[in-house]
Order: sequence, then structure tokens, then C-alpha cells
Amino acid sequence: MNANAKIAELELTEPILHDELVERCKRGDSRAYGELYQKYSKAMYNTSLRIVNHTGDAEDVLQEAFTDAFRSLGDFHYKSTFGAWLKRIVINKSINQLRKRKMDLIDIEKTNIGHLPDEDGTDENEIALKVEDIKKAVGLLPNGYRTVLTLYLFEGYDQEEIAEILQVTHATVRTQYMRAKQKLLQYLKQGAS
Amino acid sequence: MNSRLEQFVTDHREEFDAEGPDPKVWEKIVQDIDPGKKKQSPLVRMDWRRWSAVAAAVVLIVGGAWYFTTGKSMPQYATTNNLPKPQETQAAPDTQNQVAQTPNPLKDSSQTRKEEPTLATIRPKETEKKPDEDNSVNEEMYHCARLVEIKHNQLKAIEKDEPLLYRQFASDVNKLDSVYHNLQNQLPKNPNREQLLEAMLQNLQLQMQLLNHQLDIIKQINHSKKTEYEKAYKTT
Repeated sequence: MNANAKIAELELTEPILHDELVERCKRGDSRAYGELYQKYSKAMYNTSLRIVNHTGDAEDVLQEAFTDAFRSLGDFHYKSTFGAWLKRIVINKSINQLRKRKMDLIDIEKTNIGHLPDEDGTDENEIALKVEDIKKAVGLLPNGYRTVLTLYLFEGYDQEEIAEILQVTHATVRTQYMRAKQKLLQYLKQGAS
Repeated sequence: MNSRLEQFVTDHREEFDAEGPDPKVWEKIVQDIDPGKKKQSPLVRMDWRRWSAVAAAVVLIVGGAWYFTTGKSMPQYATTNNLPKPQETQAAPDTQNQVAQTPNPLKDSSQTRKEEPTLATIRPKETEKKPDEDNSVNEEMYHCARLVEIKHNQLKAIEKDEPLLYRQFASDVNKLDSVYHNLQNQLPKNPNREQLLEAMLQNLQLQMQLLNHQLDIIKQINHSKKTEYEKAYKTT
């Protein structure tokens, strides 16, 4: 609850601060570009890394995303915060990066369909949750599951937004997320035992 | 939906963003954006062109002001000014003839003027003004000549890219220029100094118009080239 209140507070105050930095960039202040990068690069890098699951690829995505964002800053009209706008660019580029490597989401779904039990086989409450363990387990997930799980669990998109981003149906996102989460818990349980 | 796992991730969200990108990423971004900085040089060049346009405007305004302040000896030149417009390169030889001929009708008109007493009464006033007028004509001529020179240099910039077009353009301008030098040579001998200077000035203005038009054509060519390139670039 406390955390939620904090987030709400941040969301109210942050855009105003961001605007100034973005406005400075728009005016061609080269130092502001550096500050904007400092501010967002780490979060954006981790977002990309969770999707592409490869440091080199994530760095490529980061570079392209910032370059694109800086170049098209004129098209950014505060319909969302700058961070949300940038994150969307990072996510789109990360997904493209996965597709470049011919990792198709639907194929993965099909190949994995028979491998998971229909019932909820793992009980969440039995597993000790640790940040490092979860990170490792996320990295072990197949690309399709990992993407959906990441977007929902870490980036805070709702399932309809994810369906739009991935160009799949809402139902696909729902089942993919359920299975991804189950598999993640399975990995965590295996790691713990 | 809000399970233990989801709650845990929300509570520890920042800890999940622990990795940091290689510092080289920023260097690459700076390199990527750097060509954007280099793009400023064409802007500076544009500024230079704009300045010459400003200079042309100033000269025209000064010239115009001079025309209006010097009053009534003017209108005949204004009308001859409207006659030849060497806007098309093919028209240039014709205009050359017209320019070459202009001093003659002017001479004639001045002769007829001498014969008419009404005009003769005006003449003293004109001669009174003469030193002033001469000066401003000289000044305007100097500006025009300078402007022609600048535009000539601008035109020279295309010599490398479009040698054929440049030669054609240059020959058109040179025709006018040779007429100008003819007039200049007549100047010491000719008693009708004022009108000769006027003809020279007119010639320079024609040169300027011609050069402007040529530069416009070049601009159009460059523009169409650029859009073609951009099209090709976008489709690939």
C-alpha cells in the first residue's frame, strides 16, 4: 500500500521534472541528452535484457532506442511520460530483436503446449522468493513466455496492452502468461529443492 | 491475479534493475547523433546565402529609394526596365540586343528634349542634381556589380557537378557582361554620361536577374535530386 502511494506520488511529480529535461533536449542542449540517458539507461537496459536475454543484444537495443528517441523528440508530445514513451520504443525494438533471431512467439506456444500440466501443479506459497533466483528463472523461460511474463510482471502493462504490442489475441496473452508463470514457479521450486 | 509472486516483484521492483549497460553504448549513441551536429554546416551555408539575399534586398530598397527621391528623370528607365526580362536563358541573346540598343533611343530622346523649350527649362535643375545623382548611380552600380560577382561565385559552385549547364549559364551571363564592358569603354568619350551610366546599371540589373533565375533553376535541380535520393533511400 505504502509503495503504491509512493508510486502514485512519483507519477504526479515526475513528469514535470522530465519535461524540463526533454525540453532542454528539444532546444538542442547537448548536456541534457547525457542527463536523459543517465536517468533512463539503466531501467531501459534491464527492460530490454529481460526480453532479449542477451547482454550484447540488449545494448544494441538500448543504443538504437535512445538514438531513435533523440532523433524523434519532436514527435513526442507528452501524451505519456517520456519514460513510458521511451520504454515502448525499447520494448518494440527488443521484440524485433527476438524476431530477427527467428524466435516466433506462436511457434514457441505450440511446441510447449503439451509440456505443461493443465492444473496448477506448483503451490506458490511453498517457494521462497528471492530476487536473484527469480532473475535466473526468468532467463530460463522460452522467449515467448519470457516476453509476456516480463511485460506483465515487470513492466506493468495489462494484458490488452500486451496483446496489442505482440499483435496477438487477448486470450493468447492470458494463457501464455499463466503457463509462463507456472513454468517460472517450477524452475524456482527446482532451484530451491 | 495478484498472487504472491506478483506482489513480491512489485515490492522488490528496483532490485530487478541491477544490471548496467556498457559505457560504450553512450559513446555509440553520441556518434550516432553526431552527424546531426555536422548537419549544422549546411545551415551555416544557408545563412550565408540568406545574407546575400538580404544584401540583394537592401540594394533593391536603396535603389528603389533612390529612384523615387530623384524623381522625374526616372520613368522612362522604369519602362525600359520592364521591357526585357531575361528570365529564360534562350531569351538572353534577344535581351542583349535590347540592352545594346537602349542607349540609342535614350540619346534620341535627350536630343528631342534639347529641342523642346519646356524640357530645357527643367534641365538646369537636373544639372544641379547631377553630382549627387552621379554619386548614387555610382554607388548603386558598385553594389550591383558586387552582387553580380557574388552570384557569379555561387554559380561557379555548380561547375564541378554540372559542367555543361554551368557553361551554358556562364555564356549567357558573359554576353550581357560584354555589353556592359562596351558601355564602360564608351563612358570617357560619351558626353551623355548620365544615360550611359543608367544603361550600365540596367545591364547589371539584368545580369542580376539572369543569375537569380539561373540559381533558382539550380536550386530546383538540387531539390529534385534530393527528393529522388530520399525516395530511393526510403524504399530500400
